[in-house]
Amino acid sequence: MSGIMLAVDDLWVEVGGKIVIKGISFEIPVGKTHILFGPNGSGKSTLLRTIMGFSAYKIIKGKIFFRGKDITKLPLAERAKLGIGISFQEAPAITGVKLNQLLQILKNNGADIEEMATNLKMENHLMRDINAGFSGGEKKRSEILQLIIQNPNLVLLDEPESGVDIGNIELLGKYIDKLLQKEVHHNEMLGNSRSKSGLIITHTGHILNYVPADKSYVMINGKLVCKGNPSEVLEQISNNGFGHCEECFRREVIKDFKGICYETK
Amino acid sequence: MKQNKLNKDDIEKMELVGLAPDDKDRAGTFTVIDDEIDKSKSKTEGVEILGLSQALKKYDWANDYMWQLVDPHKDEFTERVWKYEQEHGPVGQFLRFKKGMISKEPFQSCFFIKLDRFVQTVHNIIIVEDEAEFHIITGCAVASYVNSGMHIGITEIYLEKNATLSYTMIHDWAPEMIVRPRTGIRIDSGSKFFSNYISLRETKITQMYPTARLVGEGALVKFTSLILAPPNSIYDLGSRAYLSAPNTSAEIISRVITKGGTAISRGNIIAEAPDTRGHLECNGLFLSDDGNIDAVPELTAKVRDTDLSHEAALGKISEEKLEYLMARGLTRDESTQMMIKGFLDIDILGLPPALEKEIRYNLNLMEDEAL
Repeated sequence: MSGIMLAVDDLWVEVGGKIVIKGISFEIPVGKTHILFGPNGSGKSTLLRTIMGFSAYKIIKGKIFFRGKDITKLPLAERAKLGIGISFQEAPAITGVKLNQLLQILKNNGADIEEMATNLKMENHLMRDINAGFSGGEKKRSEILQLIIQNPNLVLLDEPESGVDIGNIELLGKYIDKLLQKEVHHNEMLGNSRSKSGLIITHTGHILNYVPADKSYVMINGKLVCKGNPSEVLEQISNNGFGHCEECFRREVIKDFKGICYETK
Repeated sequence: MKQNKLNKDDIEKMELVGLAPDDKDRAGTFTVIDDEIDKSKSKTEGVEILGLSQALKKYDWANDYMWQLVDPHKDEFTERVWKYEQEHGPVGQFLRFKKGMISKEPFQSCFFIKLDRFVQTVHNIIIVEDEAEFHIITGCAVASYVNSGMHIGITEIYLEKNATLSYTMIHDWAPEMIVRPRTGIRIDSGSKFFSNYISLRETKITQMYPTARLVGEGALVKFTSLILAPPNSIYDLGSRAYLSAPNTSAEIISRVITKGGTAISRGNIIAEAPDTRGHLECNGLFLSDDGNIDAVPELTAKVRDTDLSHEAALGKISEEKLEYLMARGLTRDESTQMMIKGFLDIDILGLPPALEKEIRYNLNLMEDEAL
């Protein structure tokens, strides 16, 4: 098998008649977690949802490969079955379907549903309709719980920490680590021992305090404009804002500005 | 008319609408096949069950409960039953839940038709005395070869003071069956009445408008219906509540699905006394390009101190919700089924667990077939 979990090649995506993704290429190796930064409306969620295969996202050019297989035309459910999982930024309430009912169907590994629900403080929500009347934090924990039980190889997380208080971000981070097999020591000299990869959208970067990541991208206006070490890129954004990233990209003189913008494509 | 004996096939159909053939876990049983009483049996001293004709002979006062809550001249269907009764005497049950008695085990009744093109006219009187708490499961069905006919059921339900009755009715008719139940309910102070109606099968037309009169302070009524209208079937269903005493409340909830048929969901709450509350809710789902759903809510306030509301939402299953489940690896069909089963969730009926489990099982069988 290829050592690449996800490869996106010159991807162009249209949503509701508007081109939102404008020629994006990147790869996530097996065992690695990448981060997607970017201002609101830059197309981060669109990219994640296109990789997952939601019907509203129309690929007009480019290809998506999952573990070497071209999945560009594969329907949503089949991508999920192949091993791609997503956490929703705004999960809808699924009236009439109990959380436990779905978890029983998703159960794809030895994970104990009750135990995992308790760990994520969701044990009292198992018999409730999915997301119906859940608080913001409960929805996020419900998403991570579902993913742990589903056990995908590629984990797409859309702002897993937004609207979650600090104490619960730590809890979420712990189980996102579990989802991404962060407890498995990843020795690249010995080959890949970790079989999970992740792509995480974060607005604030808080989740990086708990989830180690390997690489990050900055997305602006449908393009990846910067690529580099997650904490360095985050620091750059915190200090100078996204405007700077855009400017830096536009000037195309990035190599002369070492230390401001990092490694680029 | 000599009735046929029930065969295995008939019993299966009766079981599907909630009848336990051996009376297991039941407080009693009353069944009518065509126009004859097949079984009338009480298993507990809290329940008196008689054929209605028999009850009228036994108790002078029983006649006081006849045609009080349903007007015999209301329409051609009530008229038909009324005339039948003048000639032959009534066919149906006289069911009395005695004062202060409580049972978690439901009383069951079943009205079954074995003759094709038969017109079944039944009349039921149900009295729940002070402080009694009971459940009724009523099933109506036809033999598998029956295609057409008519069922007219007059049901008059009296709840005395501080009594509770849940009345769950499951129908399983046939493509050319005309179904016209006529039901009146009188609810006295502190009493609660829960009506649950489930029908997922073909019918030519099923039309009813049960009407509850809340005449005593603090009385409560809740009507819930779960309907699936297959192609060529018409369901015209409504529920009405008169809030005629202070501090009474009514809730009318319907979940209707069309698979090509017509589903009309009506509701009418009339507030005539202060400190009353009423809510109407209709959710309608399309599973096909054909068919139609009408939600017709009516609220009438005759007093200032009342709180009446209604909401309705009609449409197809939300694509966003379907894709939420599909993103977890369920196919479109699996996700749709899951959403529909959730839509027709009997959790909302508030039944005792054993009965709920049974009905859930039957409902699943019927849903699988309907979908």
